[in-house]
Formats: sequence, C-alpha cells, structure tokens
Amino acid sequence: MDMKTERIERIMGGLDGLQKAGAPDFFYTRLMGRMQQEPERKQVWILKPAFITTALGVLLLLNIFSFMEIRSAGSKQESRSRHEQPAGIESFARAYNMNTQSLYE
Amino acid sequence: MTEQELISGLRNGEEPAFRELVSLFQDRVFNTALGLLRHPTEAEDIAQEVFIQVYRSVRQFKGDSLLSTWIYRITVTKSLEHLRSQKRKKRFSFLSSLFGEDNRPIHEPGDFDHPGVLHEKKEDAAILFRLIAELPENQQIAFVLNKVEALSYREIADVLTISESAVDSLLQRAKQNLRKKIAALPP
Repeated sequence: MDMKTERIERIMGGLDGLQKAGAPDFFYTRLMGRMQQEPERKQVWILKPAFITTALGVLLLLNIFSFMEIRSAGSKQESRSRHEQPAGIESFARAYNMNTQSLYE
Repeated sequence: MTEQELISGLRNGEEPAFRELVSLFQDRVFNTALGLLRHPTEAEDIAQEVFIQVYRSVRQFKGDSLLSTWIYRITVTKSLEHLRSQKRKKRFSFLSSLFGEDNRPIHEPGDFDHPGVLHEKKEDAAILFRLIAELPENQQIAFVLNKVEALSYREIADVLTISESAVDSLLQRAKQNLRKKIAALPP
C-alpha cells in the first residue's frame, strides 16, 4: 500500500471505535426551562410562506393584467381618435360656428 | 413503561412520561445532532427543539413507525434546517459585511473535536468530520447515522424512508466521495 492510499484509509478510519456522545448534564432541567419560557407559538396562516408567495404571485398577475388592459385600451382609443379627429373638429367648428372662412368674412 | 404506555402518557400531557422519553432518547438525539452540526451548543439547542416538537406533535404520531425512528427523523430534519439557515446567513453576511444579526460574527465551524473519538484518532476524525460536511445532504445523513450513531442499514432506511439497498448505495457513494476529497487534500 502506497503512502497516499495509506493516508486515505487512515483518515477514513478516523471514526472507528467512536464512543457515542451523551447529552450534557442538566439537559432535562434546561429543556423544561426553555419550554416554560417559550409558550406554544400558534402559526398564523397569513404568515405562512406558501400563502405569502401565492398572494404576491396573484398581485403580480393582477398588475400585469391591468397594465396590459390599460395599454390595449389606450392604443384602441388612440387609433379611434386618429380616425375621428377630422370629423370631431369639423363638428366642433360647426357647432360653434367657427369654420375657417368665418375669420376672413 | 412500554412504548405504547409512553406514547399514551405523552398524549395525555403527563410529565413523568415526558421525563421518561427525554431520559430514553436524549443521548441519541444529542449525538445525532452533534454528528451533523459539529457544534455542542448548537446540538444541544436542536436536541431541545426536537423534544419540544415531539411533545407538541405526539398526537399526530400515527404509530406506523417506531417512536425512535420518528424521533430520529425529527432530529435529522431539524439539524438540516439549522444547517441550511446557517448557509443562508453566510450568504447574506457577504452582503452585510462580516457581521451577522446583532453585529455578532456568524459561527463558522472550525475543526470539530467529537468527545467520543479515540485519542490517537482525533486529528483524522477532525479532518473526516470537515469533509463529511461537504457531502450531499443524504450521504451526510446516512454516513453520520451509520458511523456516529451506529444505526443499522434497516434503521437508516426507516429514518430516511428509503430501501436498504438505497442506504447501501448512499454509503458507498459517501465513502467514494470522502476518499476523493482526502486524496485531494494537501499532504
């Protein structure tokens, strides 16, 4: 067996003959002290990570949806107003008797 | 007290039953946590959490496994959660300078000196423990339960809810990886 293999096997055997470690003294006393100090914490469902993640996801989707809705509504209105603009101006001018000729009359 | 009597006493919230449970399992829980965490204070802390969890959730224990298997499972889960949270803290500590919460330095486990290691093997055991910590979680658990807690393949299989052959394969891979890691160490 070469030196390298010998070293590997020696370290691999580092836990041979290991004795189990025992809990420290007064473990029970300290445990009881901790149990009295820490009353049972009831998990609030609203703070559960699964709920928080889902809620954030839903909020994000709602945001994306509203953003897209606003954008599509805006572009529709823009194209409609582009088509309707001349008629709109004419009808406005007609309604208030403001056609261009009237300025020079 | 039989296991059934113990469980029924725990379900009724009887203090003597809890005391008996702690006295029966405290060493096993502590030794397992110590093997995985390599830090006595943290191992004691986790061991306490294990018993608190057992006390609070014993009504949910269906009895389809041994009480010891259930307790080992809780110990392993709690220890892994602790290790993961330490890793997370370490990652965040990179962003928030060298100090963790409360400006205390985050605990960095150095070479671990297990109290049950034979005197002449202390140095080798410290190296081995350091390398075990670098193994994938499942291999780490299987190796610690087998070598530190001396559980049989059957017992490990029950704790991890896998087959005995899967345990064997985990241990073989763990040993292979450890050998590779030792070979890569500077002389």
